[in-house]
Amino acid sequence: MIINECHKDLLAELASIGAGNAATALSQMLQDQVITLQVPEVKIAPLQDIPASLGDPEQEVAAVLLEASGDGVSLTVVLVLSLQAAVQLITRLLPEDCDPLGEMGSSLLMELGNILVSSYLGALSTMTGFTLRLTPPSLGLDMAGALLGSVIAEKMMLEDNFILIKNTMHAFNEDIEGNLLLLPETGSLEKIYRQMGVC
Amino acid sequence: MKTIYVRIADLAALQGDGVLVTVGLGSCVGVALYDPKNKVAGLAHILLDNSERYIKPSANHFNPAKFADTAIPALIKTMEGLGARRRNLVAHIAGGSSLFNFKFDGAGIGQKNLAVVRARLDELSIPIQSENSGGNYGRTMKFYASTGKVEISTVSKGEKKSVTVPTNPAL
Repeated sequence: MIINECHKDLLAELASIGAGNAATALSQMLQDQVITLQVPEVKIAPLQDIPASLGDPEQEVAAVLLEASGDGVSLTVVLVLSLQAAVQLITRLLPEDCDPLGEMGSSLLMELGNILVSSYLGALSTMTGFTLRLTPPSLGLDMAGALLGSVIAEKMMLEDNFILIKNTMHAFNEDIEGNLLLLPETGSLEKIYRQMGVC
Repeated sequence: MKTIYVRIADLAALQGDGVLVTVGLGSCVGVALYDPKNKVAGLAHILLDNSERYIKPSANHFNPAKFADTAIPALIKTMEGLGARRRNLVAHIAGGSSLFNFKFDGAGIGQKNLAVVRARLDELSIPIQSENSGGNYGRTMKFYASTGKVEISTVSKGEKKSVTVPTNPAL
């Protein structure tokens, strides 16, 4: 579909509300640390650009994948953190002698993905009235390009565009970048816009 | 040395001195074809297995490089434009892994992609000289046109490893 300025504004609004929800949820998860999230940056780009959209496609990243569906809308959502950012976050939450990329660290990463994605989808549900169910998260640790390419292939995505929401979170006196990729299935984005009476 | 980056669902070829690179093959499959006599190298980064399962080839914006069945003939055509001969071609393939713990019905897309690539190469009588595929990790392919060698690298927990195939390219 063709995405115009009006559609972009709506996505930006959705991302802002989602980020607000996410900050609250993360503060609770991260032991009442004060977490702030900057107003996220929203980009819309062709699928082919996904593998390089987060910088070097060979960079090792942690990707948490979830699928949301309900009321005729289906989306694949992927949270992508650089390996460094993932380790930075997780080491704060794990006992000292625990491998941040071990089993416990992996579970924590998936939970983090779950919370962030639920926060964003909560915003989408509030704005549209659609009820979306989330699948349990899956985790991949590998080259950004390989992970994201696999997502497009596994989901047999033929939609031309994806939505990238760049988040910067401030926690533990550090800025941590996280990216959310939204891949709507054919027709889903149109359905969302129609429901909201936009353009 | 000239370097061409081949993106996802894309293909490229070059002759003589240069390198073709495709970064981050997960379930996607990289197909490297080489004409050792004419030093023509071609590389495709294939996303999906069989175009007929997804789209009509007559559809608007049809991208043959996206699918295994259509990418290989398109790659050969591009290489022939640079002086390659079909009967000289040999292949190296890599990728087709499965990185997430998705729940599938039957084989994952990586395995499906590999099956169609192998079948298509077989139909075209192009021998597969090396295959570095499957598993649960991503790969980067670097393909050197002057030697026909392919370097495959992986990353895991901050460590990068690479192997080169074939060790003695058949000329």
